[in-house]
Amino acid sequence: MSGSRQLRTGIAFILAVMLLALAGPALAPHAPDALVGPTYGAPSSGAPLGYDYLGRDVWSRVLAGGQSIIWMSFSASLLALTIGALLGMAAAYARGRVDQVIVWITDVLMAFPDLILVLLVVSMLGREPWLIVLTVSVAFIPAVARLARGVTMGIVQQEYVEAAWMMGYPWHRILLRELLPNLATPLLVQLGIMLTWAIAMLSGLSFLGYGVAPPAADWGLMINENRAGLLVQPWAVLAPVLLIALFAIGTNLAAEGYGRSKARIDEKQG
Amino acid sequence: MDLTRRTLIGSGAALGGAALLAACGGAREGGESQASSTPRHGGRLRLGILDGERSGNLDAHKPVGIGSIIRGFAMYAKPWEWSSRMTPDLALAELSEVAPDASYWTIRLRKGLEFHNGKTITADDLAFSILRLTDPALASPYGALVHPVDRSRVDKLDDRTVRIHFREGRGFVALPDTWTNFGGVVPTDYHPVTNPIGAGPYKIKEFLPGQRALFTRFENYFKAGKPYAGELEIIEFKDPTTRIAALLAGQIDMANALLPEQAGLLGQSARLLVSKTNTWQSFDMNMRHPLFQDPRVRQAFRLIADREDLVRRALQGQGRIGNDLYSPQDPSFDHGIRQRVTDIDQARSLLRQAGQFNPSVELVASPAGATSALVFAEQAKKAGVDIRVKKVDLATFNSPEWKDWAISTGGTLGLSWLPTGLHIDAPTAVANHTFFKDARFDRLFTAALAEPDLSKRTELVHAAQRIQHESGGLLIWGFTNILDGISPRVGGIEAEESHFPTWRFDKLWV
Repeated sequence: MSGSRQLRTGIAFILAVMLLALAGPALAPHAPDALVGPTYGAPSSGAPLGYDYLGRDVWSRVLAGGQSIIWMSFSASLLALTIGALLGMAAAYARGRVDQVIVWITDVLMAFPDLILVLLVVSMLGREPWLIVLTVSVAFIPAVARLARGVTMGIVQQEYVEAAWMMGYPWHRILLRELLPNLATPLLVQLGIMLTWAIAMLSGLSFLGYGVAPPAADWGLMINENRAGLLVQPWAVLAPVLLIALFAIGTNLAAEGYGRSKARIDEKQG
Repeated sequence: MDLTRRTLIGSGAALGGAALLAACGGAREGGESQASSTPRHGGRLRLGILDGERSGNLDAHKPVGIGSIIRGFAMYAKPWEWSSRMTPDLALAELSEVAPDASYWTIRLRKGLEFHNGKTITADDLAFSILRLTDPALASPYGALVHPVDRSRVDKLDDRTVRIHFREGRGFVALPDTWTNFGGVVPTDYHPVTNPIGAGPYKIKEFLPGQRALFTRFENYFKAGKPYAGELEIIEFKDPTTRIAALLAGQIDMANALLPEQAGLLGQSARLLVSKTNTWQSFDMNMRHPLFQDPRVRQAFRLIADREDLVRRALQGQGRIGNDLYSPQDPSFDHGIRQRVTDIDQARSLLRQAGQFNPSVELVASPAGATSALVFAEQAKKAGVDIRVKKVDLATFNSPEWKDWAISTGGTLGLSWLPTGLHIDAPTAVANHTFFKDARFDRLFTAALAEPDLSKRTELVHAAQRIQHESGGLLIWGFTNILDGISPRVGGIEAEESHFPTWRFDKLWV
């Protein structure tokens, strides 16, 4: 699959899932926590995906359950991208002690396995959505900062950057106007990778019981709640699994496709 | 953190492969043989349990986790044992007699009893066992069940007879019920690690905490000819799906306490044993909390509960409804108390009378109780009550934090009324989650505890139960069935009113 096709396919997947998640609550035939059918009831005309372990309509919960994972994954990834990129550029531009301190902090953070770090914080301080977003972004920041620093190191010695410096432009203008545009491609690819990981991590947190609290509809939580009945009523698990997978594959394809297109890999190959 | 697409895809492939392998299950080990209809000696009986705790032990009096309790049923015999209706029958004791004022019990052991190491069981061992169970230094949580025992007055009358007195001359007719779960008789040189000796049907051969325990038959078990199986293996699983796969693949012979969802999966490979127990499920209203201080609010919550719906959804239909009272199997239970049914209008009215308009409360749920909590929260909306469910892990649920919770999920094993009350709402109860305190109830309970005559005790219990029903803090909505998966090769097992048909190791054969 060519890079541009990967990109289009990825974006199509992302948009489809986002559309379902955003418009879903308005389309749901039942309230997501209403007890409307038999426990683990099979699919029927009134309930195309059957009922879950409490007798709630799975289709209604699928429609209502995607918003949290989408806004939280995007928020965590964008926050990590912003802070990480600024830190990385600042380290590469300033050099010296600033660089050493930033690299040291990122090294320390990278020593923690990301999921363990998030579980530790969430189990100690609670599972408010903003805290989860903040912690996931903290787990992602070191990788972005390292990437931004590495790329900036090469750019900062370019003549046009030195010229800007000689002309007395303020440092923030140099960072934002001269350096940042040249970092856009690798950072956007990194954003796609982070989105994929954020989806996996947030779904995992919900599955482990540290994400969105019941009775809220949430795709990760749905998998956990209904897994004991996987062999009895598989749709209560399969539907959220497929949507999470579709969203994760979409972000992955988009990131890879964008990277390949920008690097003109397909043209070079042939 | 190594954020590469290849590692992500690789991880996904590995997970997918694992899921596929799990779905396929293991290959069946040979064909399933049918159990003989008459007892047969030999073979290995294998029980799969859900535990996997590395801290599991072999302690007769301080077991850690469910696995340790089950192993105790194999290794240790007691003066009494549970009947299939959860009433105590004589076991190692040939006589147990309570004083007319219940201020002491006299227990006489059978003749010729032996421990696993061949040593004769004497009154010294019996006295040692009750003293060890109640030893403050051991700090067994189960010692609290027999806390009235006066440790300074456990008297040996002869080589086989012991007399046990109670503190301050108090009456305590419930000794057999409270001792039977965790009161294994052990020798005076007992040590749970270096000398784990008992008189149960099986001797320990190998023990790997969190993994498995292997036992061999005790030839001189006090029940002649029993046990039947030559070996017993108790295998620990952490995941119920893995365990059911092991049962279906013939890798274990029994799986106790299955999830209701798994009941339909057994097919031809195993049969389902349904035991209608008196293990109860409740919501415990904290009477110290401002909301629940008013008995009208407690009554309103009890009227909100749709018990049939709770049984149908939270227990998947595997149970029966409750009437806010425990121990219906007890001969002194008052079956004349009217069954409480859902009445939303009356509940609303009571709440208004109590000055509570659309109250909001947090319901703390254990992992096992979360399902019922969510169902109840949904039911409560009909009465304008906002219940926010907070699911906590087991360690938090069992921590002292419960004292601050307004309402929480609860329930316990279906013991008789007195031993349950001693634990739950008696004057000295250690797990009084409702902070129930009623002077008249306390007097009735104390009198019942000292009354050996059943008819007189029944009158006292009836009066006490009416107080519990009218003004108590327990919303007991149901009783749970216990579902066991049994291989066709296991014989001698039958449904009981207890939660442990699969732990009757001395009567099962393969």
